[in-house]
This record gives sequence, C-alpha cells and structure tokens, in this order.
Amino acid sequence: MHTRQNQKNLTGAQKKRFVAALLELKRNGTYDEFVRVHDRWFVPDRETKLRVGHMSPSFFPWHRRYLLEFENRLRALDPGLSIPYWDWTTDNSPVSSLWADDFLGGTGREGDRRVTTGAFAYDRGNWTINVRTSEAGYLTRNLGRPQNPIKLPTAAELQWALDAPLYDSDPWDSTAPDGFRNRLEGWAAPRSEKWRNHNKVHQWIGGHMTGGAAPNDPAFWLHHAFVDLLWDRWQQRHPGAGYLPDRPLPLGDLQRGRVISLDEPMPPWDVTPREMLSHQGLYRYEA
Amino acid sequence: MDAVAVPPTRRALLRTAFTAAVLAGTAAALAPVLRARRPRPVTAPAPLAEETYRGRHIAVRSHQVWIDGRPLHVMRRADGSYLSGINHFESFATPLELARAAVDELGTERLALAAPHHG
Repeated sequence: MHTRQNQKNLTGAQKKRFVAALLELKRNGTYDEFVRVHDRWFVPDRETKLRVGHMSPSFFPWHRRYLLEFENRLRALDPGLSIPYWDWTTDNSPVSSLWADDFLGGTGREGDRRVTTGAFAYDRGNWTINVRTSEAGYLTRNLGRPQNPIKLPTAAELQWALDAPLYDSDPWDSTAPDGFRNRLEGWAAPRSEKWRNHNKVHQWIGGHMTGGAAPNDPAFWLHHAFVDLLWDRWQQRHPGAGYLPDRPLPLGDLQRGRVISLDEPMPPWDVTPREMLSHQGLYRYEA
Repeated sequence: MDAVAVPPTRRALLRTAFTAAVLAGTAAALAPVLRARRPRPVTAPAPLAEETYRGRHIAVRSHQVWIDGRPLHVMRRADGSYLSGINHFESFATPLELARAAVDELGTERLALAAPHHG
C-alpha cells in the first residue's frame, strides 16, 4: 500500500521523480490517452445519455478509478511514486511552491497564456498538447484569472460541502438541490460562491484546465487527488450515510439509464461505485 | 477559404440569398420537372447576432457559436444554461455570454478547427 502525500511536503527529489514519470507517459502516448478518456466521458446533463464523470452521483467513484488507473501507470515506471494531493484551501496562491520551476511551473504569459516555466513549458520540448480545444500546441494557464480575479474555495466553503448529511439528491444532476456531491462538484444550483468548490479550482487555474481536455495540465491529478481525499473526509464525518442512489432508478424516472446507482457498472472500466467506496489496501492519504 | 470554418457573416448570408435567386431563375426552366415532385418548404435561417468582443469576431445563431469563424463546441445543462469546449466547469445564461467567456479564456489563442468528441 502506498501513500499519497500533500504536495507541499514533497522533497525536491520526489518532485523530480514525479515530473520525470509524467514526461515519460507523455512521450510514450499514454498520457494523451488519459486526456481523451476524460474528454470523452464528459456528458452534460441536458443530454439523455449516460453521465458517469460529471454532473452525476458517480463523480467521486469515476474519478477515483480514473486516478487509480493513472497512478498505476506512474508506478509501473517508478514503484516509489504516487499522485500527490493539493489542498487548495491552504496553498492558495500563484506563488505557492506547487507552481515553482522545479514542480508544475507557473502561470501563462499575457496574451496567449503560454506556460513558459518548469518542465511543462513548450520550449523545453517535452510537453506538446495533442488533444486540443484551442489551436495551442503549448500548455496554457491563467492562475487566479487576473483580468477578472477569482479566488480558490475557502476552508469554510469546503466545510459547508463536507457538512452535507446526504451524499446526493434527486434529480442526480447539476441541478441537484442538495447533497455532498453537488456541493463539492460545484454546480451553482442557486448561484453562489459556496456552490462552486471543485469547478472553481478548474476556473482558477485557467487555460487548459477550464476545458474538456483539462488533464492536459498535470495540475489536474493533484487537484483530483484532493477531491478524492475529500470523499474520505465526508465518509468519516457521516458514517451512517452512503452512496446514492443505492438502487437502479425506477421506470418512469427521467434519470433512469442516465446515472449510475451503487451496483451498476461505470464505463469504461465496468467497475461499480460500491467497489470504489473504499481504497483500503490500495493507498492511503498522508494526514 | 477554409473548408471547415464557415463564418456566417452577413456577407455570406447575402451571397446565399444571391445564389438562391440565381437558382430560382434556373428553377423556372425546370419548373415542369420540379412540379412533379413534392413542394420544398422554404425556411429562413434563424437571425444571426454578431459582435466584436476584445478584438474577436463572435457570431451566434440560435444555439450555435462561432469565434473568428471557427465553431465553438456548445453544450447545455439541465437548467438550460450553456457550456462550451472551452468552459466545461462554469455555465452561462446565453450563447453570447458563453462566447465572451470563451474569448476571455482563449486570450489571443484561436479555437481548434476540430474539437475532440464527447461520448
């Protein structure tokens, strides 16, 4: 069993090994396959198709499995590695060590938003964007969105999500009026800042992170490792509550066939939310 | 001219109207042939809204959006609001607001000609 560390506690040597493995996955094509999977399974909730990754209860278990698959690839290259997590309520500045040259590199430059520092800067020659929503072949960021400033979620906004007694609620989509899943995923059901937790982090980073090909930015993995840890925290806080819906939705429910209940398989891996409820024996989080 | 980029400018619409007029002339000659077939409904295109925002050309027709002539991938949320290939994690009340948000996020960068496909 391995440990996912808080990124702020990584040594210089650990950062170097993590970055080296990312570059190797990029070089051999594995990385872009993962970017495509994320984009392919983003289905907005006006559509009547199955939604697994977003705007649905399986937001947490789907991303847990997605990260595990990615982490397995990292560990196949270097068994000492795991995905670090980024607590954005505390490391909430564009000058945090997370964005230093020896780790993820910094924000994009003015104009075209191109990241020019660190190992993922285009000019270093190791990080070309192949799954594109814009024409840019280079990684883009816009930390804090200076033109229209945005703040990362606060500890209080996060706590409000963790305090939700229910996991999720009907209609199980981006308009779900309550529940931990939508409070944390962050679709402003009534439009307000506290409803934007996870989504706002994507917006704060900007550039590729705001689009369907968000995992083009390696910050994606650290953000979602923290989201994964938050699911643990919610479970610990509400031991009597569990994943919902816990059985397939009845005939006549408009969300039937569009969301995944506890024992239904999630594509593309055919694992159920129940199988993802715990990661005991697989990995643990550093306190 | 790009094969994929179809900027629906007013000029293009006028060109379409002109072509239609020419075809109408041809149709007169073919009238006996065409009359044998079922009548073709004439549908007017939805109105086009255009603006320049931060130096970029935005065109909106119904739920479709183009930025500098390139199509923006537009999606809808259950509450009717709009998302795009550029803004996946925040939604907007109208296609025009969605287009402006995409321009804000793009900076000086252009949209990709062909966006990746969803499930």
